[in-house]
Amino acid sequence: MPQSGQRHRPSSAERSTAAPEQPHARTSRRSWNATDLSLIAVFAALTAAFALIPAIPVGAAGVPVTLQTLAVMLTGVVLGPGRGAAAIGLYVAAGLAGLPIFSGFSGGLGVLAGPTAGYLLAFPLAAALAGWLSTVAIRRARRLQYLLLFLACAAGSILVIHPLGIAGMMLNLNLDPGAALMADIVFLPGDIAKNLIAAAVGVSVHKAFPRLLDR
Amino acid sequence: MLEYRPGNSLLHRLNPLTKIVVAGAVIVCGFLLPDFRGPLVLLIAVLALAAVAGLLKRILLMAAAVLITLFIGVFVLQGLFHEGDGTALLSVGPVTLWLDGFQRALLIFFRIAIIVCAMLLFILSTHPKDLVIALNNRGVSPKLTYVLVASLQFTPQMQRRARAITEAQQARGLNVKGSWRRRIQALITIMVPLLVGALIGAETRALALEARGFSRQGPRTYLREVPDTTTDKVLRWAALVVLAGVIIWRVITWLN
Repeated sequence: MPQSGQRHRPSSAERSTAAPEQPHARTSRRSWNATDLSLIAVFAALTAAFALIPAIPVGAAGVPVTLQTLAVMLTGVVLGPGRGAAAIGLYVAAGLAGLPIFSGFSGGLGVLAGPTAGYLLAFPLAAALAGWLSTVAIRRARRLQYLLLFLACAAGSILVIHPLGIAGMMLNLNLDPGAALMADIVFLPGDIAKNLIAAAVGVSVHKAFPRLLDR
Repeated sequence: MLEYRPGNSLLHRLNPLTKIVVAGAVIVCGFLLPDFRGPLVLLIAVLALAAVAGLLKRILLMAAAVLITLFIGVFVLQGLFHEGDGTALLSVGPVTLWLDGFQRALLIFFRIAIIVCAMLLFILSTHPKDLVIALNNRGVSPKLTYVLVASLQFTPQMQRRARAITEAQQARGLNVKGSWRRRIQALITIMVPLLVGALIGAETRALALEARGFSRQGPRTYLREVPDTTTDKVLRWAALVVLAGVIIWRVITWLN
């Protein structure tokens, strides 16, 4: 699989000659090539497809349980922090721009005033964190990859998605911290299950495409 | 469902950017106008445009599907519970429809109907390729427009693929019901082929793109032409001037 062969790693000489030719290219150390862009598009689409699978409405605040968070974690684990955050950011931006791709076919800026706002805005950050941790895990660790990927996903959901989700409900629904925490806590068991799935799928995918994060 | 409908009306021939600017101006005006009559006039104008483009029936059907629950919700919430100055419009037994609440419901409903109808009209009358080329002509990076349009086109494809894989695995004896453990394992057996297929598909697409010089620097030409005519420029500026006028008018009335 030429997922990221030598051509994706330009030598420093190539890079320095390429840079002046592209004045509005990304200012990061390398710009994304066609493969990266296709991957970003595919994973943004995957997240949208998962979010549209009929949801189970759980919780007093009306935040539904969907496979959306599974897609967010998978995107981070499979694509790594940069591309993962870009894919999820693209998904959230397209939804906020009015496309009906959030759970329950909602979309538009009005979502920012709803109970799910905190969760949605947390998704790109969570994908970045889970992606960064799992990149480190895949590169460094030879054993226990499943456990490490699970911990990476759990870090993304517990350190980013849940706190920001709680903050969003406190702001938009005027809940006090305790009530928001109770409304949020019902999602925790489902999230652990989804993180287990994301880790298992991540291990399989990285076995099939060992150079996916090689950049 | 949200697909371009070919046609040759004035609306179809307009530059996609013109349509975005005009639709945006109409939507913002709908929110700035204080009374339900303003948004009503705008909504009628949008629907008249749809009729000219031959898309009226389709848009009404699609908008009705989205708006009907909103319609009921808004009218029950506002019409029955917002008393305002206490003038009743209609009284049936214990239920009273308040004039003030009714007008407020109309205002909210028309504003949202404008957003839905204007967006639908734009999507149905604009070929995605035209939108991409118009944006690229304006200096938006082709990489960005590619990612945007590609992800939109992949979404239904992904849903079909997920369904196909689920059915294929069920044909091999996968049980998607049962205990939590079972369900998690079932999801994994669906997700792995889905992701592997998506990764291979992304690579194939990237090769096809590179074979056509996607990453090449420098000017590009396109097979499709998306002209930016004088009509387009006039319409864009007119929309912006009207919008600015409405904003100034609202600021002045607000200051008084």
